[in-house]
Amino acid sequence: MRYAVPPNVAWVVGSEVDAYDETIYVMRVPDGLPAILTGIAAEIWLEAAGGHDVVPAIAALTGEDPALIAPDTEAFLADLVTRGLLAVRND
Amino acid sequence: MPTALRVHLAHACVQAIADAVGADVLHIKGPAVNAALLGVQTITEADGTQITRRMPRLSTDADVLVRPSHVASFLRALHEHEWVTVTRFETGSAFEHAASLWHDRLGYVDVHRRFPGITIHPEDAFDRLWQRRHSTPIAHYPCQLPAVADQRLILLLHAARSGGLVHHDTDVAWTRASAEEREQTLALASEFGADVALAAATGRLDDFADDPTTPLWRLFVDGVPGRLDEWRARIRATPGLGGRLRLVARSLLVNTDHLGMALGRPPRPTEVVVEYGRRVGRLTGELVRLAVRSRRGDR
Repeated sequence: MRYAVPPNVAWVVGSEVDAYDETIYVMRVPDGLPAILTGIAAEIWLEAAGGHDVVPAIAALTGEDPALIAPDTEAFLADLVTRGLLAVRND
Repeated sequence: MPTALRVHLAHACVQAIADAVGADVLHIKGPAVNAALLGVQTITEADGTQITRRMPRLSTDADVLVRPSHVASFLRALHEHEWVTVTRFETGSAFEHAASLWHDRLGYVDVHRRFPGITIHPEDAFDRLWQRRHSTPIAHYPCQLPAVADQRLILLLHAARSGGLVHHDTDVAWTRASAEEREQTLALASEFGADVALAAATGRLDDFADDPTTPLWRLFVDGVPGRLDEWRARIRATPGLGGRLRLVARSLLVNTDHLGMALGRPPRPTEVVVEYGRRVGRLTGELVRLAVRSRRGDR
């Protein structure tokens, strides 16, 4: 499954102001609560926002078995969709 | 969340609100500044390798310039989205150009209804900037920005109020600019009636010695020695007797917005009266100092 960032969502990476900060702050504009994504959550966001197939990408990044990480990764992505921070791509 | 990052999200939220009410808004300064107008820094990695990158602008607030005829509707919309006015246009600065608003999660936004130094009609000035605008994402959200050449002028006009030649923006936007970029900036300053302010930023105020606004710009470049000097310069820079009289009357009024910020709550009537007395006392003190200086022949 692939994802996209909805047009009413803004997000910024900490490295915009600090080269070594990879934290991601994401929110629905103009009234959402900012979500703070760090570590593997930030990596999942970047893959999803980039339109990539997330589970294989994270498996490659971490060296883990895709089947092992798929349930938690997909649950996290589903949560982001529920919060309106990601949308499922239909193409 | 680090303030500088919060500012990025504030820009995006403000643009979303502007879009919703059809307000024309241009993002200026901070993360809206084009990379060509940023300083460069070199980072040394742990293994000794050096990386050169543009220095990010670490703003504490989001700055936007709003089409003057859209200001009222835009401010209403901001208020409907939890933004609270902290200082009004009339009380924000000597130029009365910007209102400051606060949001509990997003921090400050400065809403400019005009830009100090530009002397053509504000609506006309905005139109010219708007026609040359482009869309660039801030926090991955499409925001409207002035053209790069206009950004250069805006940075320099801002620097004119903050030290002129010694301001870091002057270094990047003027000192390190090419001859062609300087010529373009001078032409833009003429288009916007901002020649004197640009001269203040770039150390050429002596070329405008006869301009009535030059003493005011010189104060901002050299540092403000006293409120009385500032008011004298402001009065001299204000055209027309009516405008000057209004300015004199306002000079003694208490800035209730700033007093409220200092107190952390709306000031009581008695506190406003006490502050009024302090202002009169300060003015008297400065008048005495001025009289002494005059007698000595200092100026």
